[in-house]
Amino acid sequence: MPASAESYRLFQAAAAVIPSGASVAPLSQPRDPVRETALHREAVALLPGRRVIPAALWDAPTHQEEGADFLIVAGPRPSPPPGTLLLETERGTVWRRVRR
Amino acid sequence: MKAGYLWLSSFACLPLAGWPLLAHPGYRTLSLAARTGLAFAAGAALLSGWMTALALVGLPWQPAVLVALAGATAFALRLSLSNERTALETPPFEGPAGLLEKSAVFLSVLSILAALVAAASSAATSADLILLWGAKAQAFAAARTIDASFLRDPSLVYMHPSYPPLVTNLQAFATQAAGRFAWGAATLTFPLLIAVLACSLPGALRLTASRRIAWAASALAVSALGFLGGELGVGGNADPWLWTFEALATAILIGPAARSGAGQLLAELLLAGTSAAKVEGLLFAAAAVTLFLMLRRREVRIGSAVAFLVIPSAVSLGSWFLFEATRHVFYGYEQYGRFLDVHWDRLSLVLSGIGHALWSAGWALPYLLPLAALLLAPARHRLLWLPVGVSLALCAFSVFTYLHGDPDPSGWISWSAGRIFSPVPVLLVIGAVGARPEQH
Repeated sequence: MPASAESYRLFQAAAAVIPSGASVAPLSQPRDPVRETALHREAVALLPGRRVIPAALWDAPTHQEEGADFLIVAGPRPSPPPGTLLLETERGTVWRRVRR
Repeated sequence: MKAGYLWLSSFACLPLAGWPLLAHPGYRTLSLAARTGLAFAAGAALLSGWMTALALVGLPWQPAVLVALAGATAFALRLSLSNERTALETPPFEGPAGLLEKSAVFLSVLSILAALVAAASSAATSADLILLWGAKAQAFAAARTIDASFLRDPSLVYMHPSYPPLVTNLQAFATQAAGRFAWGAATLTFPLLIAVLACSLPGALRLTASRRIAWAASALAVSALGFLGGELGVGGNADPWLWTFEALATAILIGPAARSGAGQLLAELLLAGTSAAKVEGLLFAAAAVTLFLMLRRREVRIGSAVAFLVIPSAVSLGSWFLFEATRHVFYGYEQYGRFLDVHWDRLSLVLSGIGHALWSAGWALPYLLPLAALLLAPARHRLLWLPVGVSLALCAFSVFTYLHGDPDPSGWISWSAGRIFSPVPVLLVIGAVGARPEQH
């Protein structure tokens, strides 16, 4: 299955657990700014009503994901966990970030 | 699923909006199918025009109001035809359809079904649907206007904020009607528009040529576009809209209809749609109007023809440029490098890249067959130069653009050239119809 179809399904699933108005950053695991640039573009389309924060733009990291309420991680479950796990699918995970 | 049906069926409002104009007696020589398809295209141009105008003055979109405004405008345009010689000339009566005509209909139906299968299976889905067209339309529907803050967002500059608004407007209209953006339904606009073309192009060409030629030419054009659309992945993007407007406008401009007020009015709406659908649509409209005025200057009143053919596009695109400028989104269109910074040393690279892109879509048969139809046409009437000249202008513009910007344009050409050149087959086919002198 093409990568875009994988992430399409992940974002469709994530849309069910991320509330409207929340901020969300899509990441890849392992981290890859090229992949995260593509993920950001897809997330803008597939997560309407949420504020999508880019972890990478034009294939360069932005480090802006720190400010997001939720993280969508495409690929295997990250370690250590970046927050509270909300959803896990074959294609990735959705996390609520824990504010310190 | 329900939202998808609603999303797609909302486009039934387009022929309703355009019908008050197409119901004018001046268009009664066209078949019902042709008038319905032309009403769809005219309604699309009017509805999108009103959406841009309302965004410009800061009024929110409401689907019912938009349809009413577009329909009222079509009715007002119909009234403008009342006091002049407007009727299209009636083509001579022909008997029952023969084998060639039936084969042409069969080929067109087959092309629509192939486009439907390609779109429904996601094989024809455009990557740009998610990257820009759908994402923008969704945001605009939520804002109930063209969302300038969305277009100004520097992290979203890849969405090409200066792209003209027709396709995002119409997709936003459908999104408002359905309650959400329906990605699957959006890809089905490809077979929908192929069907619109298959319904209306035969009737538009019938004004110029015999039924046998008109139907055969339409079938060739529709099958070429159906095939190219599947190969190039245009489901959900702007290309099928552009094809529809360009093909119908050209078919009218080469025929006797362009001598009448009714024909010129219809062509004007189609050209307005063309110039608001894609960036290269502006070049198409400018080239088509210029060539029309050059080639048919003795048949029409130049002043009224210029007004008929230029004002709607100027209003349609002018309101978009004004919106962009007043909201500090952009000024004019994006450019790929400085205009005069032409890298002629890349010419062979660009030409070979274009050749490869065209060849990769069915060994270039969608281009070569229409070219053969043009070259084998039994005569060379001057009006063939309208579609052929526009094709040459589009090709020259594309090559010129590829000579700018990126030091290695190979990747850029490979994913864009097929779509940029995709209107050419239809224009060549229409050129083959226009080349026949007996109808002029």
